[in-house]
Amino acid sequence: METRTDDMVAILLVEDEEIALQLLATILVKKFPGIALHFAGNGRVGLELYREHAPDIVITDINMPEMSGAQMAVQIRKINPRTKIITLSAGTGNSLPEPAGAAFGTDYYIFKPINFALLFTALEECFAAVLQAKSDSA
Amino acid sequence: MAHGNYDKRTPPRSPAEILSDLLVTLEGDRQALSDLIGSFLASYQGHLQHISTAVCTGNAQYLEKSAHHFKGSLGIFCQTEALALTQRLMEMGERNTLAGAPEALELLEQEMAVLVGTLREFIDR
Repeated sequence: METRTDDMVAILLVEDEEIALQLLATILVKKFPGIALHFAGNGRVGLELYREHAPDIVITDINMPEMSGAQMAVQIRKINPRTKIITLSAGTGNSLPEPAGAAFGTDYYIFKPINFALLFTALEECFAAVLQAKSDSA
Repeated sequence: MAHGNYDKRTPPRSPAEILSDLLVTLEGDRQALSDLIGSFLASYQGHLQHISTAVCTGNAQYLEKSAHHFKGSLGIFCQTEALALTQRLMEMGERNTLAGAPEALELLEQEMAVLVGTLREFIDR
């Protein structure tokens, strides 16, 4: 993990499946080499890291032990409503509110298996919004 | 692209197609992909064992949990029959109706043997 500078975008990645976490982290660092990346294996740890590092973007799985991605997203929204949140889920249909993601206020909802082109597009839109906000507040 | 729900599901791809796409996404880093496959190969038997234990003991809650957990890593490399069988086992656990679970597990083990062969072939190539 790089030391974060003011213009660096920080991402918090929350995923309970170790190989999926490993894959996402590897891909994100390759695709977006300038990011500061933090990762957690469940929503509870994710929320702790969010409070500690205040990342600009959160990418999270939904169904996780201890605290779900949805529960974490609700708490993050209370701390900073402007945080960009991307949810990833297999979406089996019986564990998600309808419309998926909207009830807990996420910005993007992407089904698994992940279409990386969609994830990259969502991230690029998030980066643009985050950098604009940083520029406006400078 | 507007903000919102990206509910676009891609059609299921074969494991070979998935590996090819992942290699492109990883910018041709074959070693990184081989490392991920190695992690999966090192862990999949443990996942199957958990599912098998749940089926053998008739523990629906454990079946749901273990199948769900396996689906997370399996779905990275497989979107076809093995994933559908794991999904079916997970739903059996959710509904607490394990009739047909031993047969689904047996089919899953057969499908996994095929998938593991494809993954090992990629690493050895």
